[in-house]
Amino acid sequence: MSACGGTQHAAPPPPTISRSLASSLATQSDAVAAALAAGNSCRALTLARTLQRRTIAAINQHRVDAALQEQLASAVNALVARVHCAPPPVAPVHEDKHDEEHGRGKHKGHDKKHDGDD
Amino acid sequence: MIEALSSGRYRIERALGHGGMATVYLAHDEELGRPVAVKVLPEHLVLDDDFRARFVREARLAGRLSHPNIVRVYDAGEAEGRPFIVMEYVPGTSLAEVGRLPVGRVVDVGVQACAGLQHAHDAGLVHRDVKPANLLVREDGVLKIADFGIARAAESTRQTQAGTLLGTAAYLSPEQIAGEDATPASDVYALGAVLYELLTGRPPYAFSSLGELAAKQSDGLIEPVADVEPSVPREVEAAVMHALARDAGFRPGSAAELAQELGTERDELPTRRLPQRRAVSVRGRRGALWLAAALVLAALALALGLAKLRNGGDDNRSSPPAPARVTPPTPAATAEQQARNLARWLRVHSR
Repeated sequence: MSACGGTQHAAPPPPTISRSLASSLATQSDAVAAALAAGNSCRALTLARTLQRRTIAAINQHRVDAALQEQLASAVNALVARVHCAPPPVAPVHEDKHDEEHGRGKHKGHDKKHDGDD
Repeated sequence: MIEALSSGRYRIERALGHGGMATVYLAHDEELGRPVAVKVLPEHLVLDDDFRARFVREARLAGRLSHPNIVRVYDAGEAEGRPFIVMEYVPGTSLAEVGRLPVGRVVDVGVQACAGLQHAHDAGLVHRDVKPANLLVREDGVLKIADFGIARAAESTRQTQAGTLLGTAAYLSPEQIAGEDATPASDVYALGAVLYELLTGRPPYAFSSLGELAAKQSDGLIEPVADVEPSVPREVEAAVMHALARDAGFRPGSAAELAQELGTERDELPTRRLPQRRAVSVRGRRGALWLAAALVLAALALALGLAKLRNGGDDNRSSPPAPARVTPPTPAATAEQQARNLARWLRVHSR
């Protein structure tokens, strides 16, 4: 909320984050982008969650101006919510007989790995 | 940006702030000719019909509350599929922006917050998200609790759950961290955590994850207020620590009881400024005494020409300036671009 009758006050400086913290978080966010660009969504999700943890820690340590906390937190949350770990597709199997014999086993492994990522 | 809502009744003037789950605008109620604050959900949160309906329903429930220490909800509805709430406009600042306060001021805002919470609890509503950002202090010193009902609606979305936790983890009660239902005692705990931070400059527990917070709430000890800030009277410290009891059954029995505990020594507390304000309706036998003490202290503050809100001594403002508005990271069509925008935003806002 903004204050009224502020003519007697100098405009407050814009809220900022320390250069080292901002640089660290920005680098992490860039890494998320790079992983997504490379098609590695699972790694991107891991990196995004790390970014989220670091952001939480920074906010709780009062290293982020109050005026920026909600913006930063919501942006990071939105990013995490938007990144979905999509495991690479199962390699196609060319022999039908082979598929019948082993396909179920592969699916089990796939599901297991997927659960672990979540 | 939205320019008008409700068939033009509310004319949007400017954005006041962007939160984790909504943007708040200053608007003008063309029918009643008064300024109002309008909270509008962002587009990415309105995809869920159930959430939209719940948001409006909870806001309307909150609209039944009428108390000087609660931000009044005037109206709620949807415009172009985006839910909005029309609220009382509170010119001033939130407790998230004031840092540490003198003991007397902390007690003053604490008692007012208790009054608002008690009123809501009596009406069967639990806030669930009491935190400094939701406690607004008007320029005349009156405290107003904002966002009643919002937190409950927010619990229905994964995204806002994360956002809520980020913003409020330090103030969440152990039972909420454990996933149990919030009760009036949860609000009392949260207010205790806010008061602890206002007195000491830090939240009761330092933590870097919710797991760590849960562990500390379960097994850790809160550093006594007086160890951090020795000038805090024992009675005030006792009241705050009482509110922070990990077992809800050991907290003050109600917000009104916490107010009584806080107010025990109110007329003897050091304060730099106790603004003139109207009487706060707090249940209990000490209400009249508090009002008298408030009037005496307000007169004293005026006589001394003290217009400081903070305890720093170098702050000569009669009211805090408006916090600079911050533009959020630019929305993006893809997650990759969103990550790049966030990185750019961080660099722009670094010093």
